[in-house]
Amino acid sequence: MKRFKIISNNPLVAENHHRLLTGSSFFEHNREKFQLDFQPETVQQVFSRAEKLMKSGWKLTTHPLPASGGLIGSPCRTLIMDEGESQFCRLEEEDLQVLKEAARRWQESRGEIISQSSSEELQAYRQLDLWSLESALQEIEKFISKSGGANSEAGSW
Amino acid sequence: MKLEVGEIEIDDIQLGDETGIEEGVLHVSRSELRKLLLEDKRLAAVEMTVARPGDKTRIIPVKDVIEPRLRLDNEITGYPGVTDKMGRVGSGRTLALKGAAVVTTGDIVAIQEGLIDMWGEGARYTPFSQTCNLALTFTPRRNLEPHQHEEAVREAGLKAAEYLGEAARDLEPDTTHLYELPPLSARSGELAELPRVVYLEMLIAQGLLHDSYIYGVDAKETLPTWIHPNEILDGALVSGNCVAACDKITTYQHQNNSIILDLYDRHGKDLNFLGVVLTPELTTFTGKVRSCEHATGLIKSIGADGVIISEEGYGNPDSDLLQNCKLLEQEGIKTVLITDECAGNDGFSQSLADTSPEARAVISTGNVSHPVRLDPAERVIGNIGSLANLAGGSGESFQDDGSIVCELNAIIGSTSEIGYHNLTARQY
Repeated sequence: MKRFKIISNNPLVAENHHRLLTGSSFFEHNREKFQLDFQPETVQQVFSRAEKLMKSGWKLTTHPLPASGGLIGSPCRTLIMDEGESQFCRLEEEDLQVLKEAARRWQESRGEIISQSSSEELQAYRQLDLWSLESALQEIEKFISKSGGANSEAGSW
Repeated sequence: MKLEVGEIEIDDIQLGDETGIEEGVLHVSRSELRKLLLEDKRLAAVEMTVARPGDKTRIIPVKDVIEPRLRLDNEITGYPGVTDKMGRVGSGRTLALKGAAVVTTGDIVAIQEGLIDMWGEGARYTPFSQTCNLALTFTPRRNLEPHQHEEAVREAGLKAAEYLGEAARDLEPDTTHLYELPPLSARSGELAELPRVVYLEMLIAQGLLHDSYIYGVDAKETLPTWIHPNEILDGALVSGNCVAACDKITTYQHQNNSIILDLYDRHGKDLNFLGVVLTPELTTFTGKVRSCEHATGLIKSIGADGVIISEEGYGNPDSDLLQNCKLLEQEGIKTVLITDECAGNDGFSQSLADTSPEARAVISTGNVSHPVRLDPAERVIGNIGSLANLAGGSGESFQDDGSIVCELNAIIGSTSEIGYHNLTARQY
């Protein structure tokens, strides 16, 4: 099975990394395939790290933008990348474009560093980011675990 | 499938000792409703307040809005799979308390979404400034886990709406609307000659506070699904989306989906409304491919000439929206997209996070970043402090004169991507 990297600046993700990868036989058997790549500072570092990995052949597993406006400028972000073929973008440049657009939107939104958010607000952003990651891991377990891994076709796209 | 929705006009809500409807006034027994809602031991307390159009009242943070209804011909009176047993809805007679709404409020996490202003500038931007709202503010029991808290508040709002709907049981409706579509195989004659149109409704499905439920099933667990529009109008869809105030589809808006109602209006006149496909907006790219490819295949099999696509949320769902458009257009099926824009305070930034040359017919429901100034409220239902944590709000939102400057982002339903809102466009 292909390897995954969970790139995050969310300390809740780091604290819960082990818990997130237990509770099902899929994760019990493949835990070592999901490496946490913790970036301790800003969301920009997460995007920069992802871009660097992309140049080494890693692809986006999750979309780098959240699904709601309030979270686009969140001070924490978690992305998942994998070593397989791109699941969405036809060209490598498109994958990078998606990432750069997410980074631009984050910059345009609040984009402040972690220390500028109130502790209650920060905890909420971290929680929402964690729940989004949980949802993504559930999808990976359902879809990707059964699709043959790195050699599978991405679909008719 | 034939659904008859009878509307009982409600002009006011009064809290008192008994529940009933008299001359357009919905009377609500405080004690009875409280007892019903607190049967759920996850909830410690509920505060009930009425907010009427014109009141200088602000409701914040809003979780969901639900229209009180009663199904007369179905043993399922609640929301199937959520507050009631499983079973199909969308046929028979349903009564709707038109002009009334249940609004649930209360903190689940510190990032809270949505306000409703019942007067002034803010009222212009939300459809729920025109409904008489029974606001329910819930206090969870201590140490309730967030998933449990969200579920408890969601179910309580729906139960309250069902309880209020029961008050209409012996009344004759003021207006009746009939919704009926024959099976696809029975569409012949002139109807068969009209353009065949499907409505593809995208639903947010990305984790706690970003969820939708189809017959009680988490939309994340579903493939794109063919569904009769009557089922949506009659309560098959429930919102679990507590973020993105401006474009979250409240349960009320599902019950009154403008796109479905407009398609029904034109069915048999200049188009043949085939039905609806619901599709989840998933988090992973593989999930997005699955949703978009399957929705396209389903719509192609059904034989649509054209598809109207609505989105829920923005950001990564923009990719789903454009992907759906691209795949359908590549199959020769014309598309119209309905979406809001995240175009900056001045409206000049790129509107969507993704784009595609196939997206040539796009309806904008407004710019979520458009700034508005809201006057100070005389009464706040909920927690005014949570404005600082709303999308579109911040610590700087509060002005010295007590007014609030925020983005449309923060106002419930302001840029509804299913068109159930007040914004429109004018050409000069």
